[in-house]
Amino acid sequence: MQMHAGVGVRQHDGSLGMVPAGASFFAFEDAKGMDRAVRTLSLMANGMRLEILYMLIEGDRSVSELVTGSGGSFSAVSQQLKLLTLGGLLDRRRDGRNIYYKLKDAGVSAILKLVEGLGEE
Amino acid sequence: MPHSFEKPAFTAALREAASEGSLSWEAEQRLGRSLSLPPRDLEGAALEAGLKLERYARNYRTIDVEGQLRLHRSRVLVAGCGGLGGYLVEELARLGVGNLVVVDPDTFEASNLNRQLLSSLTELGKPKVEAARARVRAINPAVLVEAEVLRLDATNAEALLAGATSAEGVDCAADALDSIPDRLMLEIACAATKVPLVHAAIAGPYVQATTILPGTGSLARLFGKDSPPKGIETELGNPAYTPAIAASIEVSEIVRILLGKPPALAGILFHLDLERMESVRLPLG
Repeated sequence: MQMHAGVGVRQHDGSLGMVPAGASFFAFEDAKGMDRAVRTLSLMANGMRLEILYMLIEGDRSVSELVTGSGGSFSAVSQQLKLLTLGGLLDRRRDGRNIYYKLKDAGVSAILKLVEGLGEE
Repeated sequence: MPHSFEKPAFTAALREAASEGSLSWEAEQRLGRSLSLPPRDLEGAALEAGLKLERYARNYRTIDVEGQLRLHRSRVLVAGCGGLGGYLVEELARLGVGNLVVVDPDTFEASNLNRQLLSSLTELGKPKVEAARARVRAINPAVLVEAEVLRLDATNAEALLAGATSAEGVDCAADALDSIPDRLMLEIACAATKVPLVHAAIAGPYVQATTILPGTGSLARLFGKDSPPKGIETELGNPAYTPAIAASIEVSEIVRILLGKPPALAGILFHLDLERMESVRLPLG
Protein backbone atom coordinates (compact mmCIF):
# COMPACT_ATOMS: atom_id res chain seq x y z
CA MET A 1 0.00 0.00 0.00
CA GLN A 2 1.27 3.43 -0.82
CA MET A 3 0.78 6.61 1.14
CA HIS A 4 -0.21 9.62 -0.84
CA ALA A 5 -0.19 13.24 0.14
CA GLY A 6 -3.65 14.64 -0.22
CA VAL A 7 -5.64 11.64 0.98
CA GLY A 8 -9.42 12.07 1.07
CA VAL A 9 -10.73 12.48 4.59
CA ARG A 10 -14.23 13.05 5.95
CA GLN A 11 -14.85 16.66 7.06
CA HIS A 12 -17.14 17.88 9.85
CA ASP A 13 -19.87 18.75 7.36
CA GLY A 14 -19.71 15.23 5.93
CA SER A 15 -17.98 16.19 2.68
CA LEU A 16 -14.79 14.57 1.50
CA GLY A 17 -11.99 17.07 1.90
CA MET A 18 -8.33 16.67 1.15
CA VAL A 19 -5.47 16.56 3.58
CA PRO A 20 -2.87 19.09 2.47
CA ALA A 21 0.30 17.61 1.00
CA GLY A 22 2.86 16.94 3.71
CA ALA A 23 0.28 16.59 6.48
CA SER A 24 -0.10 13.17 8.01
CA PHE A 25 -2.85 11.77 10.15
CA PHE A 26 -1.50 8.24 10.12
CA ALA A 27 0.38 6.66 13.00
CA PHE A 28 2.90 5.15 10.62
CA GLU A 29 6.12 6.77 9.57
CA ASP A 30 6.35 5.06 6.22
CA ALA A 31 4.48 2.82 3.82
CA LYS A 32 6.30 -0.25 5.16
CA GLY A 33 4.95 0.29 8.65
CA MET A 34 1.47 0.65 7.20
CA ASP A 35 1.93 -2.54 5.13
CA ARG A 36 3.02 -4.42 8.24
CA ALA A 37 -0.05 -3.31 10.15
CA VAL A 38 -2.44 -4.11 7.29
CA ARG A 39 -0.79 -7.50 6.86
CA THR A 40 -1.02 -8.35 10.55
CA LEU A 41 -4.62 -7.23 10.97
CA SER A 42 -5.89 -8.83 7.75
CA LEU A 43 -4.27 -12.11 8.75
CA MET A 44 -5.97 -11.92 12.13
CA ALA A 45 -9.37 -11.22 10.57
CA ASN A 46 -10.24 -14.87 9.99
CA GLY A 47 -11.68 -17.44 12.40
CA MET A 48 -9.42 -20.33 11.53
CA ARG A 49 -6.25 -18.24 11.58
CA LEU A 50 -7.25 -16.69 14.92
CA GLU A 51 -7.75 -20.17 16.36
CA ILE A 52 -4.29 -21.18 15.19
CA LEU A 53 -2.76 -18.01 16.62
CA TYR A 54 -4.48 -18.47 19.99
CA MET A 55 -3.20 -22.05 20.17
CA LEU A 56 0.32 -20.74 19.62
CA ILE A 57 0.17 -18.25 22.51
CA GLU A 58 0.93 -21.21 24.79
CA GLY A 59 4.05 -22.16 22.81
CA ASP A 60 5.25 -24.09 19.76
CA ARG A 61 2.89 -26.56 18.14
CA SER A 62 3.37 -29.15 15.41
CA VAL A 63 1.20 -29.11 12.31
CA SER A 64 -0.68 -32.19 13.45
CA GLU A 65 -1.41 -30.62 16.87
CA LEU A 66 -2.75 -27.54 15.11
CA VAL A 67 -4.89 -29.67 12.79
CA THR A 68 -6.36 -31.61 15.71
CA GLY A 69 -6.82 -28.51 17.84
CA SER A 70 -8.47 -26.39 15.17
CA GLY A 71 -10.77 -29.10 13.83
CA GLY A 72 -9.87 -28.03 10.27
CA SER A 73 -8.63 -30.32 7.51
CA PHE A 74 -4.90 -30.76 7.05
CA SER A 75 -4.95 -28.84 3.77
CA ALA A 76 -7.01 -25.95 5.16
CA VAL A 77 -4.69 -25.60 8.16
CA SER A 78 -1.57 -25.77 6.01
CA GLN A 79 -2.91 -23.06 3.71
CA GLN A 80 -3.49 -20.82 6.72
CA LEU A 81 -0.05 -21.64 8.17
CA LYS A 82 1.52 -20.72 4.87
CA LEU A 83 -0.24 -17.34 4.86
CA LEU A 84 0.64 -16.64 8.50
CA THR A 85 4.29 -17.51 7.84
CA LEU A 86 4.49 -15.45 4.63
CA GLY A 87 2.87 -12.57 6.47
CA GLY A 88 5.60 -12.67 9.11
CA LEU A 89 3.41 -13.70 12.06
CA LEU A 90 4.85 -17.19 12.47
CA ASP A 91 8.23 -18.87 12.43
CA ARG A 92 8.54 -22.39 11.13
CA ARG A 93 11.12 -25.02 12.06
CA ARG A 94 11.61 -28.60 11.07
CA ASP A 95 12.47 -31.18 13.73
CA GLY A 96 12.93 -34.61 12.18
CA ARG A 97 9.68 -35.45 10.43
CA ASN A 98 7.64 -32.77 12.20
CA ILE A 99 7.25 -29.12 11.36
CA TYR A 100 6.67 -26.75 14.28
CA TYR A 101 5.26 -23.26 14.27
CA LYS A 102 5.59 -20.47 16.81
CA LEU A 103 4.54 -16.84 17.14
CA LYS A 104 7.30 -14.63 15.83
CA ASP A 105 6.54 -11.49 17.79
CA ALA A 106 5.41 -11.05 21.39
CA GLY A 107 3.36 -8.09 20.15
CA VAL A 108 1.05 -10.50 18.34
CA SER A 109 0.30 -12.32 21.63
CA ALA A 110 -0.47 -8.98 23.23
CA ILE A 111 -2.94 -8.06 20.46
CA LEU A 112 -4.59 -11.48 20.65
CA LYS A 113 -5.05 -11.22 24.43
CA LEU A 114 -6.46 -7.73 24.06
CA VAL A 115 -8.90 -8.80 21.31
CA GLU A 116 -10.04 -11.77 23.40
CA GLY A 117 -11.25 -9.42 26.11
CA LEU A 118 -13.00 -6.97 23.75
CA GLY A 119 -16.50 -6.07 24.83
CA GLU A 120 -16.25 -7.83 28.18
CA GLU A 121 -17.14 -5.90 31.32
CA MET B 1 -1.51 -3.22 -44.49
CA PRO B 2 -0.89 -3.77 -48.22
CA HIS B 3 1.49 -1.31 -49.83
CA SER B 4 -0.76 -0.93 -52.85
CA PHE B 5 -3.33 0.84 -50.70
CA GLU B 6 -2.89 4.45 -49.65
CA LYS B 7 -3.50 4.83 -45.94
CA PRO B 8 -5.55 8.05 -46.11
CA ALA B 9 -7.87 6.54 -48.72
CA PHE B 10 -8.10 3.40 -46.63
CA THR B 11 -8.97 5.37 -43.50
CA ALA B 12 -11.62 7.23 -45.49
CA ALA B 13 -13.15 3.93 -46.63
CA LEU B 14 -13.26 2.75 -43.01
CA ARG B 15 -14.88 5.97 -41.81
CA GLU B 16 -17.43 5.76 -44.59
CA ALA B 17 -18.33 2.20 -43.64
CA ALA B 18 -18.67 3.20 -39.97
CA SER B 19 -21.84 4.46 -38.41
CA GLU B 20 -21.57 6.95 -35.53
CA GLY B 21 -17.88 6.16 -35.11
CA SER B 22 -18.48 2.45 -34.85
CA LEU B 23 -17.80 -0.31 -37.36
CA SER B 24 -20.35 -3.15 -37.34
CA TRP B 25 -19.17 -6.72 -37.65
CA GLU B 26 -20.93 -6.99 -41.04
CA ALA B 27 -19.21 -3.84 -42.33
CA GLU B 28 -15.88 -5.14 -41.04
CA GLN B 29 -16.32 -8.43 -42.94
CA ARG B 30 -17.53 -6.65 -46.08
CA LEU B 31 -14.54 -4.30 -46.10
CA GLY B 32 -12.16 -7.14 -45.42
CA ARG B 33 -13.46 -8.98 -48.48
CA SER B 34 -13.55 -5.99 -50.82
CA LEU B 35 -10.07 -4.79 -49.83
CA SER B 36 -8.61 -8.31 -49.44
CA LEU B 37 -7.41 -7.41 -45.98
CA PRO B 38 -6.92 -10.02 -43.25
CA PRO B 39 -9.07 -9.36 -40.14
CA ARG B 40 -6.03 -8.47 -38.07
CA ASP B 41 -4.90 -5.65 -40.41
CA LEU B 42 -8.43 -4.35 -40.77
CA GLU B 43 -8.91 -4.21 -37.01
CA GLY B 44 -5.61 -2.40 -36.53
CA ALA B 45 -6.46 0.16 -39.21
CA ALA B 46 -9.94 0.77 -37.80
CA LEU B 47 -8.64 1.28 -34.27
CA GLU B 48 -5.87 3.55 -35.55
CA ALA B 49 -8.57 5.60 -37.27
CA GLY B 50 -10.24 5.96 -33.86
CA LEU B 51 -13.19 3.75 -34.75
CA LYS B 52 -14.98 1.53 -32.30
CA LEU B 53 -15.62 -2.04 -33.36
CA GLU B 54 -18.95 -3.68 -32.68
CA ARG B 55 -17.25 -6.84 -31.50
CA TYR B 56 -15.66 -4.87 -28.64
CA ALA B 57 -18.79 -2.83 -27.86
CA ARG B 58 -18.99 -4.27 -24.36
CA ASN B 59 -15.30 -3.57 -23.74
CA TYR B 60 -15.60 0.18 -24.19
CA ARG B 61 -16.94 1.16 -20.78
CA THR B 62 -13.78 -0.38 -19.36
CA ILE B 63 -11.33 -0.09 -22.26
CA ASP B 64 -11.49 2.90 -24.62
CA VAL B 65 -10.52 2.83 -28.33
CA GLU B 66 -6.96 3.85 -27.53
CA GLY B 67 -6.73 1.06 -24.95
CA GLN B 68 -8.23 -1.37 -27.43
CA LEU B 69 -5.50 -0.40 -29.90
CA ARG B 70 -2.89 -1.02 -27.21
CA LEU B 71 -4.34 -4.48 -26.59
CA HIS B 72 -4.38 -5.13 -30.34
CA ARG B 73 -0.66 -4.36 -30.52
CA SER B 74 0.24 -6.34 -27.39
CA ARG B 75 1.89 -9.71 -27.15
CA VAL B 76 1.38 -12.06 -24.20
CA LEU B 77 3.13 -15.33 -23.44
CA VAL B 78 0.75 -17.93 -22.04
CA ALA B 79 3.01 -20.48 -20.37
CA GLY B 80 0.98 -23.67 -20.13
CA CYS B 81 -2.29 -24.46 -21.86
CA GLY B 82 -4.10 -26.62 -19.32
CA GLY B 83 -6.58 -25.57 -16.65
CA LEU B 84 -5.43 -21.97 -16.31
CA GLY B 85 -4.02 -21.59 -19.82
CA GLY B 86 -7.26 -22.49 -21.62
CA TYR B 87 -9.21 -19.79 -19.81
CA LEU B 88 -6.35 -17.31 -20.26
CA VAL B 89 -6.37 -17.85 -24.03
CA GLU B 90 -10.16 -17.58 -24.17
CA GLU B 91 -10.37 -14.31 -22.23
CA LEU B 92 -7.33 -12.67 -23.83
CA ALA B 93 -8.67 -13.45 -27.33
CA ARG B 94 -12.15 -12.14 -26.52
CA LEU B 95 -10.65 -8.97 -25.06
CA GLY B 96 -8.71 -8.44 -28.29
CA VAL B 97 -5.12 -8.94 -27.13
CA GLY B 98 -3.55 -9.15 -30.58
CA ASN B 99 -0.73 -11.67 -30.19
CA LEU B 100 -0.66 -14.74 -28.01
CA VAL B 101 2.32 -17.06 -27.69
CA VAL B 102 0.92 -20.28 -26.24
CA VAL B 103 3.36 -22.92 -25.05
CA ASP B 104 2.61 -26.43 -23.82
CA PRO B 105 4.18 -29.80 -24.70
CA ASP B 106 1.12 -31.90 -23.85
CA THR B 107 -1.85 -33.47 -25.60
CA PHE B 108 -5.33 -33.66 -24.06
CA GLU B 109 -6.22 -36.60 -21.83
CA ALA B 110 -9.58 -37.70 -20.44
CA SER B 111 -8.60 -36.47 -16.97
CA ASN B 112 -8.43 -32.90 -18.38
CA LEU B 113 -12.12 -32.88 -19.28
CA ASN B 114 -13.33 -31.86 -15.79
CA ARG B 115 -11.76 -28.40 -16.01
CA GLN B 116 -9.71 -27.60 -19.09
CA LEU B 117 -11.79 -25.31 -21.26
CA LEU B 118 -10.16 -26.28 -24.55
CA SER B 119 -10.43 -30.01 -23.95
CA SER B 120 -13.25 -31.97 -25.58
CA LEU B 121 -13.85 -35.53 -26.71
CA THR B 122 -12.68 -34.75 -30.22
CA GLU B 123 -9.48 -33.11 -28.92
CA LEU B 124 -8.28 -36.10 -26.87
CA GLY B 125 -4.76 -37.07 -27.93
CA LYS B 126 -4.22 -33.79 -29.78
CA PRO B 127 -1.81 -30.99 -28.80
CA LYS B 128 -3.31 -28.48 -26.39
CA VAL B 129 -1.78 -25.47 -28.12
CA GLU B 130 -3.37 -26.48 -31.45
CA ALA B 131 -6.77 -26.45 -29.75
CA ALA B 132 -5.91 -22.95 -28.50
CA ARG B 133 -5.09 -21.78 -31.99
CA ALA B 134 -8.33 -23.23 -33.42
CA ARG B 135 -10.41 -21.75 -30.58
CA VAL B 136 -8.98 -18.27 -31.07
CA ARG B 137 -9.54 -18.42 -34.82
CA ALA B 138 -13.18 -19.30 -34.14
CA ILE B 139 -13.64 -16.46 -31.62
CA ASN B 140 -11.49 -13.63 -32.89
CA PRO B 141 -9.56 -13.93 -36.17
CA ALA B 142 -7.85 -10.60 -35.48
CA VAL B 143 -5.79 -12.33 -32.78
CA LEU B 144 -2.68 -14.19 -33.90
CA VAL B 145 -1.64 -17.30 -31.99
CA GLU B 146 1.85 -18.71 -32.05
CA ALA B 147 1.29 -22.27 -30.91
CA GLU B 148 4.46 -23.89 -29.55
CA VAL B 149 4.38 -27.61 -28.78
CA LEU B 150 7.31 -27.61 -26.41
CA ARG B 151 8.30 -27.77 -22.76
CA LEU B 152 9.60 -24.42 -21.57
CA ASP B 153 13.20 -24.51 -20.41
CA ALA B 154 15.66 -21.80 -19.46
CA THR B 155 16.88 -21.36 -23.04
CA ASN B 156 13.65 -21.41 -25.03
CA ALA B 157 11.77 -19.38 -22.38
CA GLU B 158 14.16 -16.46 -22.74
CA ALA B 159 14.03 -16.72 -26.52
CA LEU B 160 10.22 -16.71 -26.59
CA LEU B 161 10.02 -13.82 -24.11
CA ALA B 162 12.55 -11.77 -26.02
CA GLY B 163 10.83 -12.55 -29.32
CA ALA B 164 12.87 -15.23 -31.06
CA THR B 165 9.99 -16.11 -33.33
CA SER B 166 8.91 -12.55 -34.06
CA ALA B 167 10.26 -9.06 -34.40
CA GLU B 168 9.37 -8.03 -30.86
CA GLY B 169 9.35 -9.47 -27.39
CA VAL B 170 6.31 -10.07 -25.22
CA ASP B 171 4.77 -7.35 -23.04
CA CYS B 172 3.69 -9.70 -20.29
CA ALA B 173 3.91 -13.37 -19.36
CA ALA B 174 1.18 -15.41 -17.70
CA ASP B 175 2.16 -18.33 -15.50
CA ALA B 176 -0.21 -21.22 -16.17
CA LEU B 177 2.35 -23.93 -15.51
CA ASP B 178 1.87 -26.95 -13.30
CA SER B 179 5.20 -27.56 -11.63
CA ILE B 180 7.12 -25.43 -9.16
CA PRO B 181 10.58 -25.83 -10.81
CA ASP B 182 9.09 -24.71 -14.15
CA ARG B 183 7.49 -21.66 -12.52
CA LEU B 184 10.78 -20.69 -10.88
CA MET B 185 12.55 -21.12 -14.22
CA LEU B 186 9.99 -18.87 -15.92
CA GLU B 187 10.44 -16.23 -13.22
CA ILE B 188 14.20 -16.18 -13.84
CA ALA B 189 13.69 -15.95 -17.61
CA CYS B 190 11.20 -13.07 -17.14
CA ALA B 191 13.67 -11.24 -14.88
CA ALA B 192 16.44 -11.70 -17.48
CA THR B 193 14.25 -10.36 -20.29
CA LYS B 194 12.55 -7.69 -18.11
CA VAL B 195 9.05 -9.01 -18.74
CA PRO B 196 6.37 -8.65 -16.04
CA LEU B 197 5.11 -12.05 -14.88
CA VAL B 198 1.58 -12.64 -13.63
CA HIS B 199 1.46 -15.75 -11.48
CA ALA B 200 -1.44 -17.85 -10.32
CA ALA B 201 -1.61 -21.33 -8.85
CA ILE B 202 -4.53 -23.47 -7.77
CA ALA B 203 -5.18 -26.41 -5.48
CA GLY B 204 -8.65 -27.69 -4.64
CA PRO B 205 -10.62 -24.60 -3.58
CA TYR B 206 -7.52 -22.41 -3.18
CA VAL B 207 -6.13 -19.79 -5.54
CA GLN B 208 -2.98 -17.75 -5.09
CA ALA B 209 -1.94 -14.96 -7.41
CA THR B 210 0.74 -12.31 -7.52
CA THR B 211 2.54 -10.14 -10.05
CA ILE B 212 6.30 -10.05 -10.31
CA LEU B 213 7.63 -6.93 -11.93
CA PRO B 214 11.12 -7.38 -13.38
CA GLY B 215 13.73 -7.34 -10.65
CA THR B 216 11.30 -7.65 -7.73
CA GLY B 217 9.98 -10.47 -5.64
CA SER B 218 10.59 -14.14 -5.74
CA LEU B 219 8.22 -17.03 -6.27
CA ALA B 220 10.64 -19.21 -4.31
CA ARG B 221 9.46 -17.47 -1.14
CA LEU B 222 5.84 -18.26 -1.93
CA PHE B 223 6.47 -21.94 -2.42
CA GLY B 224 8.87 -22.47 0.48
CA LYS B 225 12.31 -23.96 0.19
CA ASP B 226 11.42 -27.59 0.79
CA SER B 227 8.43 -27.76 -1.53
CA PRO B 228 8.00 -30.87 -3.64
CA PRO B 229 7.84 -30.20 -7.44
CA LYS B 230 4.05 -30.44 -7.33
CA GLY B 231 2.11 -28.54 -4.68
CA ILE B 232 -0.85 -29.66 -2.58
CA GLU B 233 -3.02 -29.78 -5.73
CA THR B 234 -1.91 -33.40 -6.03
CA GLU B 235 -3.84 -34.11 -2.78
CA LEU B 236 -6.72 -31.68 -3.30
CA GLY B 237 -7.42 -32.11 -7.00
CA ASN B 238 -8.65 -29.35 -9.28
CA PRO B 239 -12.38 -28.78 -9.69
CA ALA B 240 -13.58 -26.72 -12.67
CA TYR B 241 -14.34 -23.49 -10.84
CA THR B 242 -10.87 -22.89 -9.41
CA PRO B 243 -8.87 -22.58 -12.67
CA ALA B 244 -11.58 -20.38 -14.19
CA ILE B 245 -11.42 -17.82 -11.40
CA ALA B 246 -7.62 -18.01 -11.11
CA ALA B 247 -7.22 -17.29 -14.83
CA SER B 248 -9.69 -14.40 -14.63
CA ILE B 249 -7.66 -12.84 -11.83
CA GLU B 250 -4.55 -13.17 -14.00
CA VAL B 251 -6.27 -11.64 -17.04
CA SER B 252 -7.53 -8.62 -15.11
CA GLU B 253 -3.96 -8.02 -13.97
CA ILE B 254 -2.53 -8.58 -17.48
CA VAL B 255 -4.95 -6.03 -18.93
CA ARG B 256 -3.88 -3.43 -16.37
CA ILE B 257 -0.24 -4.06 -17.28
CA LEU B 258 -0.88 -3.91 -21.04
CA LEU B 259 -2.83 -0.67 -20.66
CA GLY B 260 -0.01 0.91 -18.65
CA LYS B 261 -2.01 1.03 -15.41
CA PRO B 262 -0.44 0.05 -12.11
CA PRO B 263 -0.86 -3.68 -11.47
CA ALA B 264 -2.98 -4.46 -8.38
CA LEU B 265 -0.90 -7.42 -7.24
CA ALA B 266 2.71 -6.24 -7.61
CA GLY B 267 4.37 -7.35 -4.39
CA ILE B 268 1.02 -8.57 -3.07
CA LEU B 269 -0.09 -12.16 -2.57
CA PHE B 270 -3.81 -12.54 -3.24
CA HIS B 271 -5.18 -15.72 -1.70
CA LEU B 272 -8.68 -16.96 -2.27
CA ASP B 273 -10.43 -19.81 -0.48
CA LEU B 274 -13.52 -20.87 -2.44
CA GLU B 275 -14.52 -23.37 0.24
CA ARG B 276 -15.00 -20.67 2.86
CA MET B 277 -15.34 -17.79 0.36
CA GLU B 278 -12.56 -15.88 2.04
CA SER B 279 -9.77 -13.83 0.57
CA VAL B 280 -6.57 -12.28 1.86
CA ARG B 281 -4.49 -9.60 0.23
CA LEU B 282 -1.05 -9.87 1.72
CA PRO B 283 1.67 -7.28 1.08
CA LEU B 284 4.88 -9.29 0.71
CA GLY B 285 7.46 -7.11 2.37
